[in-house]
Amino acid sequence: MKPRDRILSRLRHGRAASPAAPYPAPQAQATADSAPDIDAMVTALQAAHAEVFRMDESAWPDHLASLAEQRAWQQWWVGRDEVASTWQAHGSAPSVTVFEDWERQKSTLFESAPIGLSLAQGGIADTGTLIVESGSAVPRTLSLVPPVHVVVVRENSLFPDMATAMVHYSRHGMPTNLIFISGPSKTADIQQTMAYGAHGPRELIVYLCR
Amino acid sequence: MSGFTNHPDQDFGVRIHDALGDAELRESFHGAMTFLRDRRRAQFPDPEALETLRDSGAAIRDRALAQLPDLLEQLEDRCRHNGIQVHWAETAEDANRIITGLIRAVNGKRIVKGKSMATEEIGLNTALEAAGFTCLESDMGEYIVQQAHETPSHIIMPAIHRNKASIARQFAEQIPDTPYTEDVDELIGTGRRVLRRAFAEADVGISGVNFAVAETGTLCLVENEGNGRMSTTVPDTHIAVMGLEKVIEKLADLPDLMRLLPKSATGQAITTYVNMISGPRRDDESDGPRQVHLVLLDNGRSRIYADRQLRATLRCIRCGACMNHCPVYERLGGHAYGTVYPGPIGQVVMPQLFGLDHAGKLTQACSLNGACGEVCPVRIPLPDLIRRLRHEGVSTDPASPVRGHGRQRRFSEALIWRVWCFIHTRPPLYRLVTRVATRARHWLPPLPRAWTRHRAPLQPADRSFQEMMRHREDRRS
Amino acid sequence: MPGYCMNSPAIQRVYLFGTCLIDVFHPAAGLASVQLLEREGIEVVFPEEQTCCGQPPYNSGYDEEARAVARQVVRRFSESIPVIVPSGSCAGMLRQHYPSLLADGPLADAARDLAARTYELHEFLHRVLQVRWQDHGDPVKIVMHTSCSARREMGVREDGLALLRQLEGVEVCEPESAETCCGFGGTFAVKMSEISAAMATDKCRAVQATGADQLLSSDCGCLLNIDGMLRKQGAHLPAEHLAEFLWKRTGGDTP
Repeated sequence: MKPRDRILSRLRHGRAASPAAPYPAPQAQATADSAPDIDAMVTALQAAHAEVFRMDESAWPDHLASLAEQRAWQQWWVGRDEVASTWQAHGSAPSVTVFEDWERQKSTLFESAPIGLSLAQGGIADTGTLIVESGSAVPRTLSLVPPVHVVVVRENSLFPDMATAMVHYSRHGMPTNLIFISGPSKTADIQQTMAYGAHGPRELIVYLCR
Repeated sequence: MSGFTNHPDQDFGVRIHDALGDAELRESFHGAMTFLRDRRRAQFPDPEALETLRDSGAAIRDRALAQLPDLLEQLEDRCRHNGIQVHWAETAEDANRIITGLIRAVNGKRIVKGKSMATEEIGLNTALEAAGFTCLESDMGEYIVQQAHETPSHIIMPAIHRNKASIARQFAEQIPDTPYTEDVDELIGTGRRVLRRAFAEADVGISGVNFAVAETGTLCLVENEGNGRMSTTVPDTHIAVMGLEKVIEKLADLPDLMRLLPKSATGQAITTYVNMISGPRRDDESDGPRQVHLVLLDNGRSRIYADRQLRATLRCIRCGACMNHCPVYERLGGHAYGTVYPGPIGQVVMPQLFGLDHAGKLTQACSLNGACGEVCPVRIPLPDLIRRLRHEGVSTDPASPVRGHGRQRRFSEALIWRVWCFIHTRPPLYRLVTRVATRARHWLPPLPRAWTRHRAPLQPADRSFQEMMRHREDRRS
Repeated sequence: MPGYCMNSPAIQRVYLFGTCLIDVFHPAAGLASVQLLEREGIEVVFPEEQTCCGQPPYNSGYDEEARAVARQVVRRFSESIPVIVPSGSCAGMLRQHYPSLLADGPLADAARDLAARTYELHEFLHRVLQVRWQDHGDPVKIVMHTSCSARREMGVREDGLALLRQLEGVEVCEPESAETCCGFGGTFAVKMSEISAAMATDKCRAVQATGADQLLSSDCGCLLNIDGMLRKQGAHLPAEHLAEFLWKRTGGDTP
């Protein structure tokens, strides 16, 4: 017998030898078919140390341009999503690198990519979470490696809570890599003192767009 | 240096003594545990809602365990369909052999690891070293601990026994061009710098798994630092190691578990990152691992599974709340246990994995105060399980399901309880004994030194309560 | 949970399970328990054929010895009236553990029945009898230690405190980290004496830091532990069982 079969047979035998009624599930709470609570999303993201701006979708490029000027952000890395083309068309950024060839650009990304800009495919309002799906348009590492991550998310793509998000993915299937992001990277591993930018972005800037 | 052992009972008393005598350690743990308990409490303001949520957590985990073999087959099937290769390991040695083989097969040179208790359990780092590989821990706490040749002292916060001054010294000594600083941001910045290089160059990433969803063949990994994302995204090969009990039935089971895990663990509403990995990179994707492997680890779990009561052990979601609330753990710290899993869950898991002959004494380091059971997000009846393992430790029943049963039985103690029982099942004899104890209270031999070293001797009253009641009856009639 | 309604007029008689620690070390607390109940017009039945609840061997893993004692308790307290226990941990043994301990024998039903009518004394006084008391003592500040079993297994922390709060002259406080175990744990105090002592030391410090004049608890085990250490340290903080204190404060003659 292979290890697999031995393990499974032990488990089946163990279960048959001492059957037990599973712990009873509590009565399911009525799932409110409520709209996503945008204010809760903003509060949760801010509590997690993210910066949040709410505006019409047409307004974010101008806003980001002035923010970039204030903070002297010059080197932008983007993928090939809508947000990337809008930002390139806006023309305010001195340098925009399209991240498309991982093998070639990987070391530059790690060494000298200060800011990543991307579109989040969705979000979860009550926990202040951005949903990033893997796909052909944007490399996964764009939202991870640069110290600053600017992300645009549309209010109409938000789920009210994780349960509704899971219903969606159960129905439509999972992407190979699905990431929930709820703030900048952080750690409290040294004497319970919170520090941001452990391995991922130090700063997370969110544009919540109508 | 502290280390894990397969014989945690050995020198347990010495480790306890040393830990209790280490004022700095006690201070570290007291501060950290108070911090974690306060944070958890703040996340669950409504006690009734918490109890309902714990019911749900227990039910979800129990439902998964009730179907465990079937869900594992489904998980394997879905993972294969998604392009994840599944391996089954019966023992720690098997798991290490499988992982080493996988690394050799891709000619792996540089290995990074995200935080994973399963790989601690199998002693993967040591096995990899023996095979000629070095594996860099990438969780900040694990990195600190690995660099100091220590083992984690807590399952969620591995370096919780260390203060920032000692970490500052370590970094200044061991990392080139690093000045001494106690500024935590700078210390983390140093770790980030070193580990960034390692991530960029790594060809194999190893991680644990918090939950595996059978419905979709998805591996879930929760973390705050981003090292989990790095380890599972940047290297070409990702190897995930998971205790086989961590499978859940469906995606719909995740939300409640996610509402319990980070809040119970560190008092966070949600972790910064939730990774859900359902396969290697597709052809049209530009990054992500080309190979994803899942190693399913038994290592004694199927034996635990075979007992109706002890099966609840496998509900555990490794949040660490039991140790954060354990007054014994708070005073000893994690290393004194000498085990990968310390605290109450360790006292339940370890004797079952290693046998009561090697780890049965661990179950004695518990006052049965119930704090662990009260906070467990999946309602593992930890005090009941500890008591049960004490029973198995002294049980002479050959049918006992726990390895090493009966090996904690001492003739003298068994005799004491025999005599005790003889007296207490014979009320007249009991009355005689209490009469003697009360009358001769000034001449009684002193109690065990273990009691009187720290406390005044116990002194019986001059008359027993039963005697008082008899007098009272007599006066009335 | 026990099945008696609040202020149930049906209750005229109750059993008292005295506990072995009260029997030998704090008999006055046992007597006070009887008197507190009798003052409410309740007849207290005290079966002479009682010893211990069986918890010490049970917690040490000696189930057979514990079972022998438990069977005796179930048989002696068979009349269908409440069983009052002036101790959280012994009450917890009867209510929470007898049913599983005796589940496989002929007394399974009887054990469940006993569990359902077992009360911790102060729970019974407060929730079922809903006593109302007048305070007769001088102003005093007390620190209340609720045992882990009273708090967690029995859920009766509030009952002890609520009774104390009825007493005008009594300032009630709890030590810092009140929910933390005092380190007694029965045989734990002897088997793991160093850890136990470390826990007791912290508890003593917290208790003393309140500046209270007196320490109260409704569990004798904790009292012996904390008071034993305080006395060894030469501290002047008299310890008393809650029942005894309540009886004296509410006009009972000194037992």
